Amino acid sequence: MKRIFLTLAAASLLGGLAISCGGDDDSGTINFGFLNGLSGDYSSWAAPSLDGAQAAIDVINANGGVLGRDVRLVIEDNQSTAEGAVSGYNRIRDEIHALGGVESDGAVALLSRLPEDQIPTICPACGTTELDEKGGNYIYRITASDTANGIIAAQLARDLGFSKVALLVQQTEGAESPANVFKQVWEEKVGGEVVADVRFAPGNPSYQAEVQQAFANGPEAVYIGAGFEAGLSIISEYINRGHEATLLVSPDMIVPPISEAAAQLPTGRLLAAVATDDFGSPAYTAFDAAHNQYVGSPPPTGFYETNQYDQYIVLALAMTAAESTDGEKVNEQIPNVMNSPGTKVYNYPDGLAALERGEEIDYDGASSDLELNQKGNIVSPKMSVRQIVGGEYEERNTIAMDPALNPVS
Amino acid sequence: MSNWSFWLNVLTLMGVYSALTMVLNVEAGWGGMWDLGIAGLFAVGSYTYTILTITGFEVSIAPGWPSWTGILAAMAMTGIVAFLVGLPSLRARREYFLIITFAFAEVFRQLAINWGDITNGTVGFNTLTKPLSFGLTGDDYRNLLLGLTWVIVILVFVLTRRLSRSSYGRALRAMRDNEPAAVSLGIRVSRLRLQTFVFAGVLMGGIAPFYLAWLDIVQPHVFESQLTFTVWTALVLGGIGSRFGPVMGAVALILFTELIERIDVPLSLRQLLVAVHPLAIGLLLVLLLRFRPQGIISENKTFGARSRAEISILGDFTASFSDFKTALGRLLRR
Amino acid sequence: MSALLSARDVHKAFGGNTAVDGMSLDLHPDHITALIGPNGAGKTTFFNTVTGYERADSGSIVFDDKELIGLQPWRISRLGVVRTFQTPVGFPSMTVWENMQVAGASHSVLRNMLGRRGKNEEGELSARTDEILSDLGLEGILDTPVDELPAGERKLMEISRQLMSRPRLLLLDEPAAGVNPSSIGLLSNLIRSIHQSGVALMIIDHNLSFVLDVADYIHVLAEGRLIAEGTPDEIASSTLVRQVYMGVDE
Repeated sequence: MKRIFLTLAAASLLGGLAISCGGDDDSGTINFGFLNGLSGDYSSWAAPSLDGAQAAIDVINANGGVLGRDVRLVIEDNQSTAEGAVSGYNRIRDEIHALGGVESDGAVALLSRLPEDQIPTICPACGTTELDEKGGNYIYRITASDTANGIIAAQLARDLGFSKVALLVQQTEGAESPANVFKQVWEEKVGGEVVADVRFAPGNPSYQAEVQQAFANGPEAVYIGAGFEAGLSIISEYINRGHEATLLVSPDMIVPPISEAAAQLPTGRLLAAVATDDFGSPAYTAFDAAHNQYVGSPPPTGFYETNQYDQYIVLALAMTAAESTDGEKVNEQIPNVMNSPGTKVYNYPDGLAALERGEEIDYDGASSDLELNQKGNIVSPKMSVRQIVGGEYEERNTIAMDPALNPVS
Repeated sequence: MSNWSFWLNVLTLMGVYSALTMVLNVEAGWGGMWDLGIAGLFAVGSYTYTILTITGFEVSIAPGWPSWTGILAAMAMTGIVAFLVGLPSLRARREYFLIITFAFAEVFRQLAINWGDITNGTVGFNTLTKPLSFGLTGDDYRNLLLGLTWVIVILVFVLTRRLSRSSYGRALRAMRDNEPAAVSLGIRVSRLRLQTFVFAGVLMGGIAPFYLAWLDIVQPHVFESQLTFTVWTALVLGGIGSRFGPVMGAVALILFTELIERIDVPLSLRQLLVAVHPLAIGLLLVLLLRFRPQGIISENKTFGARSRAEISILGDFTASFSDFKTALGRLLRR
Repeated sequence: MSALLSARDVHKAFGGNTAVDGMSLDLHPDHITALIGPNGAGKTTFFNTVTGYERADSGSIVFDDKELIGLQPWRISRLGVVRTFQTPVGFPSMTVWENMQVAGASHSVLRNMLGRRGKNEEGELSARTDEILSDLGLEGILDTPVDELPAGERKLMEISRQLMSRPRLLLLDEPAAGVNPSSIGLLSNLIRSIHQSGVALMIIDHNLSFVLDVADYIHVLAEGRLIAEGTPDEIASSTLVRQVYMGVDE
């Protein structure tokens, strides 16, 4: 124990010296990190997410791996928190060549770290608006952002012909970010009026006062940004009070308890827009086949499983295009393999073949066409508008986000 | 699996929590002030440092100060806030004080959520300015950070050790043991409590930036009560009122947590494992309180005959540790 | 001969119960003064009002030309009016040496953390501790935690500790309670030697023979009022005192 203390003292003296370990050797497996909320708030997504990721790894290895080496998934829990993500990342950092699986908290906490460490990272499930401007270098987002969710809600309200809306929003980052975008787009881009903006702390037994306040000035539609617990209590209050304004709810509320609670409302009274997979695309068909083959079941939907699958296909293709596992080179290739121009490819073997022929490629994924802007965000995510029929959510139509409404150009 | 990133991370965290636990020990261990508001004061220090040093965020105050002034300002601000919180709450004793400080911590968190102009609301800040980076980045800085946190541990240790052996430290323990008797000797209890609370606040404010350098974000949810309870657990584990106990408690707790994290279980059991984690720590505490209620190192042994002797830090440590070994031996023979 | 402490018409009631009902007394430093009376007579309440632990409802208590009523207890202690407690718990988790060191020290954070003054003070206190304890033959218990001391030694330690803060007036609350009868003589000697060293003394006790032996002047209290005062001989022969205090009905 005395020795440990001395070691610590020595370590602190050595503090100024750079000690670099790990590094890259050219043998052995190529390791892709999967840093995900296996426990904590996001844990309900973990199992389907991991299945999607594993399907991609199996596809890659079945096609000869990357650069002739097998690919391995290094799975690590981030406990769905920023602290957990930092600790988890440090546990696997020296092993991995690229990283995937992260959510908003982790991505934001690692934002300055990933470029420093030159670890190319794809975020399959990040909503945070912090990546709107700060992505595009070592960190790429292949999911619809909170910004997109906010825009699409405003677009929906605009297309339904409303002019007066109210907001009722829970004070958590995930709920407030899209709500703030919604408000900004609604006022600045659509030119509509916001008659009330009510924010509340989650965890209350009831939200009577908040609901009353939000509906007081006669809004035609009310944007509700809440987790499902607060959402449930708001919906029942809404029904009890007999309000009639249309509800635009955040994606977090697309869960069975909400649809069951709102079953008695007229169809179309409660709407939600959420990013959707590109079900008709050849890439989805490839993903579906891979999931069936390697996981042994058809994929579920709505758990980011397609995004989790796409990210490793992209990383593998980028690494192949870079002809190296070197982080800097892979980082350069990530947008290249996803964006046009280039030969359209929808699966890993086709991508490999095209790269071998020396062509530029444009991978269109199972989750979307994966066209990124300069800041590493999807240009025009495809969104599905959901409504409640008979106590269950079903798709009303799909719409593409109107880029004209995007406050971030 | 031993890789440097992993140890760098673990050792840095151990350092931060060791320092915090020693500070808590001054107020709670020796002063008997059961402070459950650590996360709140820590938040004040964190936000002060971040707001004053951050660049690239659109908030109404962002002067972009250099990090060392940010650290000093964080210490000053946390001290001031501790003074303002202490003034009304230190009139209360034990469980009442505990509830008030707990409530204040929550107030600060809510303030961080709602005062968006300054705190950037629930989004908070990221890519923070690193304290005392001397131009270093990446792994170089993280190695330096490890050094810096342990330098802080040593500084806080020397400071608290000196304090504990001074008449100030004895006055604190006297006040905790028997307030009327302490008063009868001319100890001005209300002032002593306030002084100590502010002293602890200033130190917490100074430690906060180094925790942020590790975490790299500031958001309200970072300052939930979990942080407070982790520090308390480390203190109870290590030995309330001892000198080396807080460091040992923090080191043991972080190590224990990391080891649990490292257990490889199938995904289906992962949630269970993480749920079991607080339970395991709880069990550890129960066992400890059953077999060694004074913690790894006891207050009695820390002071006792040793308080009278001129004794070097190393000698003090060796003696503390041999006490611990004796106690462990006795426990194992049972 | 001027009084060191003068109480005039001191009243203190708790709710409807009057504990001290218009007490007036003068304490002269060259006497060992005692305050006796049956349980509930108001002796401890009077001590508490003098030392600031209870605030008197009315009246005045002047110590060395300063009014004590309204002052905080720590302030009164620093003026030199120091008390002991009926049950001498001390600072149980600390050793005898540490207990002694607490008294008489300055408690400024900065002075203690920095500079040499703290060190000098410590050395001074330490020497004084040794002196006081060796006078009592208690050198052997320096490193014993107080909660491990037998009751008698704890009592002696408590009195010694209060002496460390260099009191001008020491108020002893039941010093003989819990002391082994064979040690009472030792206690009386201690009290006399404290007095001889120039500390004014006031004692409350139940043990009449101990009080009659050690005190020079005695006040008798019943139901919050002084009913008699005088030398031990006068008190011992007073019929009134015998009736009220000893319950002897003649």
